[in-house]
Amino acid sequence: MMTKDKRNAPAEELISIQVVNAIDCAFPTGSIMGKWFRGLKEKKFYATRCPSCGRTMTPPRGCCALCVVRSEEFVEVGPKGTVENYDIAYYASPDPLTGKVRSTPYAAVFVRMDGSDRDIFTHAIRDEDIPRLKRGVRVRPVWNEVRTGSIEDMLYFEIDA
Amino acid sequence: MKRVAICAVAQHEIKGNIWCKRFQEMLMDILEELQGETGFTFGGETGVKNIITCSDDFFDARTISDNAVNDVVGAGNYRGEQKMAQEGLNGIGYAMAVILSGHDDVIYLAGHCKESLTASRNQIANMAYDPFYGRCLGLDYLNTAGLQARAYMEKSRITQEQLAKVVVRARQWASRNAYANEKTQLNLGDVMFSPVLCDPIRSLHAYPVSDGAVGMLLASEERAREFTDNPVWITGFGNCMDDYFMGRRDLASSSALKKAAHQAYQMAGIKKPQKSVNLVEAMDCYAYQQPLWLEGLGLCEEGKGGDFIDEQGPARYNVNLSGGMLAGRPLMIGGLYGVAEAVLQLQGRAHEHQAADANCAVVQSTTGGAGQFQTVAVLER
Repeated sequence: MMTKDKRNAPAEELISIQVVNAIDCAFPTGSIMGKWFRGLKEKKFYATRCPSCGRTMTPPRGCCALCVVRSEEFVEVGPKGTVENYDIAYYASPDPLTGKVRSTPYAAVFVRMDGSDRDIFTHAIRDEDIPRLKRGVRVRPVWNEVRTGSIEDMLYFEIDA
Repeated sequence: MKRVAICAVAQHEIKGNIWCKRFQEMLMDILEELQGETGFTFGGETGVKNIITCSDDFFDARTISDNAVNDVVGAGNYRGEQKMAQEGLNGIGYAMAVILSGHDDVIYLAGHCKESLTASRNQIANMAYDPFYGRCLGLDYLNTAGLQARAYMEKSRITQEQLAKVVVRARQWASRNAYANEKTQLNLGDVMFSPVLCDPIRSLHAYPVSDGAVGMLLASEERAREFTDNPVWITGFGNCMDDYFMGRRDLASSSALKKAAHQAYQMAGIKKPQKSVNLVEAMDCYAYQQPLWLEGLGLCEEGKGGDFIDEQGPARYNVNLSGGMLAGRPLMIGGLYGVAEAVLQLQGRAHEHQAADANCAVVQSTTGGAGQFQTVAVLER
């Protein structure tokens, strides 16, 4: 067994190799998430409603985790909502998908969409609106001009005032 | 010793690409089928409180892959859940340990894998190797199987014609199994002259890309009859790991499988497996593996895999009447599908591919290159 001194000593032969792990993947949405993304393309938000407890889920889920039952009834929620919580990030971190570093600060908002139950939908808030963010503020979505059926069809929320 | 029962099983139909469903939706189908059959619920005094899932981070492309399926396995409402980050058959051993220890008396176990999510499952298998050496050499489960096939076929004198017989037979049985993936019928020539993937492995020697999900309900001996009149008992279990480095291993003989099988047989009180075992579900990802694993399980004499095929050994032991891996099952849950099949056989519910009078089944599974890690379970009725 090595002495503790030896274990912690710098070793000249240590070499670090740089590896980028990449695996090509494709994720089918299935019918539930498919309905959600198709809705975004048409500037609509679809939630599912649990047939047992009646709660809504945004984005839609095919199973209510509380009741463990299939939930495939859709209801339209939003497009406006109320900010329930938010976080503002001041540290720069690269987007793993693009390698680009976001400008800071940026913020995510937890929004209870109009017509939804207790569930929360999370998206970005317009950078310029960050100073005015507080709980309870009303927000509306800002849509991308080119919509393809992805989460980027919606750019961010902005304060509705 | 107390016994642990498998009360009911549910299998999703296996396909090469189940593009219309997310794996969550496949698991939902499995859950509903099992609840319909057994009437089990979650929580409360008598409901399921602990769940075991089996999935793979790389195939699901997210870390802690079980977090993404908590709702559809009933864990999302404050229940215990553990993921078996190994081949799914080990989930059976884990569930058994939970029940025998007295920690809980009913377990819902579910696994999923969609190989179709990735452009190539060989990319995933390549990630199983170290980043300094194995990955750079391009090692994956297919080309390490090629190394093993060469070593084993030479030792056990297995011919291309014998391998073709294994594949042709698998497809014949698969055609009778409602859940099987690849049912196209073949003749010996189709297999023998199919394109070479990795010499001596040809394309029809390799299991097809597969998506699937499978679930089951396990219970203590005291509670099994609440859910079924026809329980199947887990009487033996063992697993064993071989060396990570290929150069250290004897690829022509499966020492790890022999040890795993020995453990399982000993626990089940089986002294002569050739006399006791009358149904086998072996994880034959490549055709040469079927006789190799049967040698490891002690059902075929060491080094005699070729003769065993010619002498109808697989038929004698009712090997892979489901079609097995060769007819298509996803990696990581192939062994769980094997359990599901063995349970149906022992319950007499395998319909078109039912074996006559099977009462003692052995299920074998493996992960890692060339059968590095091996698991064996004995099931009896």
